[in-house]
Amino acid sequence: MITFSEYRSRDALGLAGLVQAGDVTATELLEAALARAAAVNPQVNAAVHLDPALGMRSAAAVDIEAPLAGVPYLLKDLTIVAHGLPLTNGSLAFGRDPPARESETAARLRRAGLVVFGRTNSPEFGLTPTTEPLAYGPARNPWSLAHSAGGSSGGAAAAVAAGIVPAAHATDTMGSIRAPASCCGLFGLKPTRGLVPTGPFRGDANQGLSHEHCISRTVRDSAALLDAVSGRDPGAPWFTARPAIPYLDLVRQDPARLRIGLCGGEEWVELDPACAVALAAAGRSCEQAGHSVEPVRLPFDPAEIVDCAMTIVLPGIAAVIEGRERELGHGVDHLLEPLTLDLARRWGRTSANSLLSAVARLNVLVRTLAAVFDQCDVVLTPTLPEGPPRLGSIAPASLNPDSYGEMLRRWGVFTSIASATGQPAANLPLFLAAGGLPIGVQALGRFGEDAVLLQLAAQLEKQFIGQPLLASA
Amino acid sequence: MNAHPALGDGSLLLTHLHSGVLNVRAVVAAALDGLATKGRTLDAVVAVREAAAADAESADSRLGSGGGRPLEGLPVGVKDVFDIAGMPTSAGCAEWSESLAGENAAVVQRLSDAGCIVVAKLATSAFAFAEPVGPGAKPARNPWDQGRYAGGTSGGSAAAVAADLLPLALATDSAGSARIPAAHCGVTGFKPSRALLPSDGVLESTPSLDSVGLIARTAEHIRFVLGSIGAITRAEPMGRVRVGVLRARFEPCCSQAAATSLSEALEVLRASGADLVDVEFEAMAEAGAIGTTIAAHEFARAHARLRPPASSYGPLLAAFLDRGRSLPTRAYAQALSDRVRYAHRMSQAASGCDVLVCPTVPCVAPDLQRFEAPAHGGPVAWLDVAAANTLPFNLADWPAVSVPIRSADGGLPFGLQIAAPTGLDARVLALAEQFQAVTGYHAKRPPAR
Repeated sequence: MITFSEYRSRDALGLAGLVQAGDVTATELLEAALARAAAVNPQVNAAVHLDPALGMRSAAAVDIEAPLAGVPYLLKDLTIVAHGLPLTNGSLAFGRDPPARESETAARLRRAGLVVFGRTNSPEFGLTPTTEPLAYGPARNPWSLAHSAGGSSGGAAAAVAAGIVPAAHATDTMGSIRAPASCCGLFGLKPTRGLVPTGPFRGDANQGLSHEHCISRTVRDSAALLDAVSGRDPGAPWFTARPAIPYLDLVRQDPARLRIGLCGGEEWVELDPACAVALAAAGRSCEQAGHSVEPVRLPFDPAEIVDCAMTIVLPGIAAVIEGRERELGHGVDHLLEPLTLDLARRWGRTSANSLLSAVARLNVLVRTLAAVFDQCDVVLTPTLPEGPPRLGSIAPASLNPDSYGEMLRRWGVFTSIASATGQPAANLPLFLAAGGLPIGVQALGRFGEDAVLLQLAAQLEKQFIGQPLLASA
Repeated sequence: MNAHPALGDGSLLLTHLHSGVLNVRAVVAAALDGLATKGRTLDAVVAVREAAAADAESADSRLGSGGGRPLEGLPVGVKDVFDIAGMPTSAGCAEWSESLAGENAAVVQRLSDAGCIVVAKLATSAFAFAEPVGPGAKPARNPWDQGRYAGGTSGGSAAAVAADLLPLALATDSAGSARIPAAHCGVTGFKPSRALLPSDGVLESTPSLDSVGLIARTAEHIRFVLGSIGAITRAEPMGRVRVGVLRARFEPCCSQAAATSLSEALEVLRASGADLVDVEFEAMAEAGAIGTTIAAHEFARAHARLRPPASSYGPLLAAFLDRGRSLPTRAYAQALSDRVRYAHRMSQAASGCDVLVCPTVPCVAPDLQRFEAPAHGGPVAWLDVAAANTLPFNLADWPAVSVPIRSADGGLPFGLQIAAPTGLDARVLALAEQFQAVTGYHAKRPPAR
């Protein structure tokens, strides 16, 4: 048996170490996770589907020598297909039937010893940087229940911050790993495009904009999980090779002296002063760690990236809906959130011309940005232009297709950059802002140099803000 | 049990009370309950004031009839050195107490005239002398780690606010006694200029250094409370603030966590528009000798009048009083004139700066066990450390506030002190408020147990 405080005090690798040493069993860890979920999930609404029986079967079958043996894990309710777990994409339009197939990433997670026992909350199709689907209700921020846990991986972030699991699966198309990590004071790495498989059921994954990985409390957990899931995925349109040395070994070393650019983006977006303060404080921490820190200008307006990305992603959502309608043999309009329906109607008619123009325009922006990384190894920006939003303030129910675009140009201004370029980008939970709410700083790395970001993050990790205090029910 | 959530934020509480969302009776009842239960387990409460329930009823009827005063219904706790009519003032010493006080201390009366309701008397080390453990006084426990000290000497006040048992507590501060426990407990502690608040009805310890202090969650609330009793008006606009950094005072904070925390706090000030300049004040450490001489003499004089039984003194206080009694008067006179020179030198060092900043205390809250072993650097060594950065501002009579910054060693609270020349109380609070408008360390609560 393991007490909650013992469970909470360890990260995924720490828990796996207990299982590997025979001190606890995978079943006991799962019981601790389920007990914590029972205590806090009614408040935070992080998990929308829990299957203790599935988890118990998986725990009983764990190979105790696996690198993450017996660590309880939750998958986001978006895109990733896994044995026995319904996938609804945060939507009432999708069935609750558990599939009998799994995606490559899910299979690798299982082989790494993780015990998957449920799904975390996601907005419908992951459309918003807050997680407030009509189908399940809002994921609340464990630092303040009146605030959003962020999105679209808000359920994952809430589950980790609230102590249900030490790390959780997450996806990121325009910031969906990094935004909730910022809101909940957690580490969240969007890896380089092509490093983590999205197949075999997805091919191009929104022209390479969509990524999968995790949100975690510790940096080394993110590295270990990246070791578990990265690698060749035959038939995938994108492929990035991982280094010859495991990330978990690399993350134990400090990075070389880095040239770090600091970009506040004040000319693009009205920034909450606390975000500027957090960025400046992070820059100083990097200097103290021995890196050189200089202000840097990014020679374009990322709002343009957001517009291009919307032109690519939203027609894709319309296509997913059409596919579902074909599968069912009837329309699903009545099952969709009004905003989703309006967006699908507007963007479903996007011409091939505008789609290809958006792709071409992105190429120009991406090449411009690549030049900045000749001068810098890492660029720090705010992750979000403000702290966690209040629930309801940017909820789908409060938006129409026009205000949705406005909202995304604001909230996605910093995170969409690396989605477009495919570069690795991570949220570093370095600052506790007014009201006791977390504000993260985003670190952008060079394409394929995920290890550098992990090393920098690990170097600054001692300054991470720690955990929220969520009273048990 | 959990404290009433509204008790954790005085300004929000007043908004709720005055808009009728909450009634004073329920809030005061919750405060009394929390103080009597959790407050006792923290050794933070000496006595609860049952009469507060009746005051709450009057407050509700005033609010109901639209006659609410600015602080109507705000529960306040007072360190047990303030007289409260009808209650004994025991000064942290169970064996000794003055007879029941006839009237409230002047500052308490002013708060109460503005609508505050006194709900409890809070723990202090005996006679507000910084000896954590004495025959009659248990040290207040730190809500962040009950095996640690809440800090002295107003430990009960800081612990009660940190545990959300009260939105506001009165403290005293003669060498740091409001700021030190505030820093250790992760709350905001303010020592005003001495002239700001009257000390009538407050137990005398070292009258030329004593100051009434306030402890609350935020500087904003302290400013609002002081504004409501007419003690301060809004700060004059400062434009670009020039912050003098007492760099030498940062070095004794040797842990990496403390250094990180402090450098981030400075970066926050810089990024919020302040200019930072390093200030050298080499004579700063002389405060210890001057302050100790003044305090020893004045304590001895005060206790010659109070005459508590000798058994109520701990060994440190007994020795301190002996020292005070044997001190030649001319040494005391010399210390008084040294003090004037000291204050002058501080002003010179700070010339060109709007405020000075340094860590409030160079370390996190000490383990209580440490006080049980005086032979191994117990209380004495601790005292020298704790007041090193706070006492100078008592000597110079500068207003100073401690604000929570990023936690340091072991995730324990850590504080930054902001001080400005005498009379600029509103400036100090305004800068603290500005700091807390972008940082949230003051809002972090101790781990639930």
